[in-house]
Amino acid sequence: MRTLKLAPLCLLAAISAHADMEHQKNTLIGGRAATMGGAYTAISDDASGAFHNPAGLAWATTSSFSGSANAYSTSNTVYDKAIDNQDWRRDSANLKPNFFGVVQKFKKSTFAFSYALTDSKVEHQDQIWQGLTGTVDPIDVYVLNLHTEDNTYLVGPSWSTKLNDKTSIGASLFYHYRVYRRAQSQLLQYTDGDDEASYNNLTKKEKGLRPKIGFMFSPKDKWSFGATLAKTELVTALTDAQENEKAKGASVYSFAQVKSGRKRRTPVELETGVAYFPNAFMLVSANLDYAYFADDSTHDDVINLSLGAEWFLSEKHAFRGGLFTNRTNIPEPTRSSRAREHIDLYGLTAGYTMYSQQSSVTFGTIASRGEGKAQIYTGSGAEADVTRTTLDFLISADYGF
Amino acid sequence: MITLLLAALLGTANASENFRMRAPKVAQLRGVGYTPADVKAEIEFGRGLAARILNTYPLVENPQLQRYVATLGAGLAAQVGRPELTFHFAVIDTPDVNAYACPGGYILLTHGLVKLLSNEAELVGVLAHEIAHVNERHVVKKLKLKGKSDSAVDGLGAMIGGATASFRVAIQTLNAQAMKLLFEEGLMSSEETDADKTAIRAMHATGYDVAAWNTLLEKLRRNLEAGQARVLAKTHPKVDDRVRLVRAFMKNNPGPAGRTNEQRFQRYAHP
Repeated sequence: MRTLKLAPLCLLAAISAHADMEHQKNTLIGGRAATMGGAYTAISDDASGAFHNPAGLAWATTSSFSGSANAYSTSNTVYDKAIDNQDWRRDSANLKPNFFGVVQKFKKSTFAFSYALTDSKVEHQDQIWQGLTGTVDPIDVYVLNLHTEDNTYLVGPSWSTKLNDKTSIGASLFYHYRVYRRAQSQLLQYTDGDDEASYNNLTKKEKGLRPKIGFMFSPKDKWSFGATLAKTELVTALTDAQENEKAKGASVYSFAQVKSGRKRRTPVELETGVAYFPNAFMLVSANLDYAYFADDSTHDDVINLSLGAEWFLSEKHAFRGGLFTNRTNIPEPTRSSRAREHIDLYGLTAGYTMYSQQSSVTFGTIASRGEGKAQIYTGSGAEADVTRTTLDFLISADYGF
Repeated sequence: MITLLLAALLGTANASENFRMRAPKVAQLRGVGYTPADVKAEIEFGRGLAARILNTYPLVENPQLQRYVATLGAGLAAQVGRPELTFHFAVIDTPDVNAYACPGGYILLTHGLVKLLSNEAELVGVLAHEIAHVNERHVVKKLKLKGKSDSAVDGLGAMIGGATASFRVAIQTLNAQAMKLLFEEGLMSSEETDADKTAIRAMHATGYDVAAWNTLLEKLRRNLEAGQARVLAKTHPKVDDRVRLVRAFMKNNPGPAGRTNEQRFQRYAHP
């Protein structure tokens, strides 16, 4: 592994949020769905169906219930030998109540109202490196303080109805709100006695709408097919960036502020799923999801695959498992590109549910890991090998009334 | 995808949703479709509802009549009632012509109705009709009444799932809704027809004269024409349809006329 030559203020602008818009499946919603690897588009018959496939709500067997999930989420990203010959680690740990939904069945229609925290990371770092001799200018002390928070919320109503005994349709309309905050300071003390410092603060706020339409169809007994189409339409996107900087050799600080209303590109998301129900105790499902970025050279279209299985040991105990991909929409770094981080994640899920007359409680875990390349140095196309590992623990419940 | 959509929209309906049902739900619905906790809730709810009715209309102060109706009803319920319930029968003091089937097996007949009856066969028909409402859980289904489990999983589920006190308050209001249902709105016409069918079968099975049910219906018709029994008129099927039902049954089940026990009835009901 090569060692990169660190330039002054090298780790500034390229640091991205850990909860990224670069992957489509950062948080799996709903206890049952999450522990089946998110392969839920052809099932979706509980409150989390509002997010996975609103058409599935029509098949909810309980006339009215609520569901919720709380997850403890951890993420760890390691940039290999990024600082001189030392690794740079970024960790995130966050306890999040990430989903709540209520379903109400009527004669011909089923309605739901739900809330989800679809992406959330809280990252805090206080790191000090000493004796960096492999840099362009030898450094005695390099101090990096970083705090980022990135949360994306969706809240809104859903509706579903059966067209006949085989087919249902549904729609959800979510209000999208994302807020990203980053505060970062860096201080470098060089061996020659000079120093360099910077402080920057960045806030991004997005508001928009996310309509999602769904369709579910059972062409023959025991088989279910589902498909959804969704797109987040940003109405406003405000970015406010401030930076104080004192370069090496300079005697005064410079200040810069940038405000922008530029909206990021959002993909059209097509999700398709199939589920096979051999009997009341077994279920297997698969999803093929496609995110399409029209005419956007800064993003790649993405295909993700999920597989899930459910097995009831008895009427009161169920086990679930799943596999999923969470591939990035960022193209691989090139010599001319800057600030790209390309990591494809591959994950597995497992869960256990206890059932009683009125409710069920699910315990589950979701793990994923991926390797890739990252350009983390300001103004440079140099790459570092990067490895990301995520681990989530969740507890969720459905309560019928 | 478009092909799939068209196929789905044009496809003929064929029950295919049951395969989606998972083991816990299947187990819950196996057999009767309700759980012991549901039955417990039904009984408690019905007892409260009956108490509320009795608070408005006291029992007729005729122990002989009450014992007679209760004994006859208990015997009938033992044959055609839900085994998990203990049925209770009583006559309440109101001139209205009606009968009320409270959930859990609490059945109340009005004194006005008893006065209209001429024999035991008619009384058995009425009792069987009301037992059928309880058996089929018509009020329970309409109010979506469900039992509450005491299990730890349910407790945890309620806590995590956000079940709130407001929900429990909502349950209390069902009592008022049930009163409105019984005294003003009534059940669905199809449910009354089903109860009629059960009553006729019960009369036949226990050896009573099925034709007596028609006689009672004719008397009810006169009541209706006289402007009495408003709720009955509003909530029950047309008398002609009900009479046709009895005739069809008699035609399909020919045989000697059953008993009416008129003398015994007159001795207890109209002393």
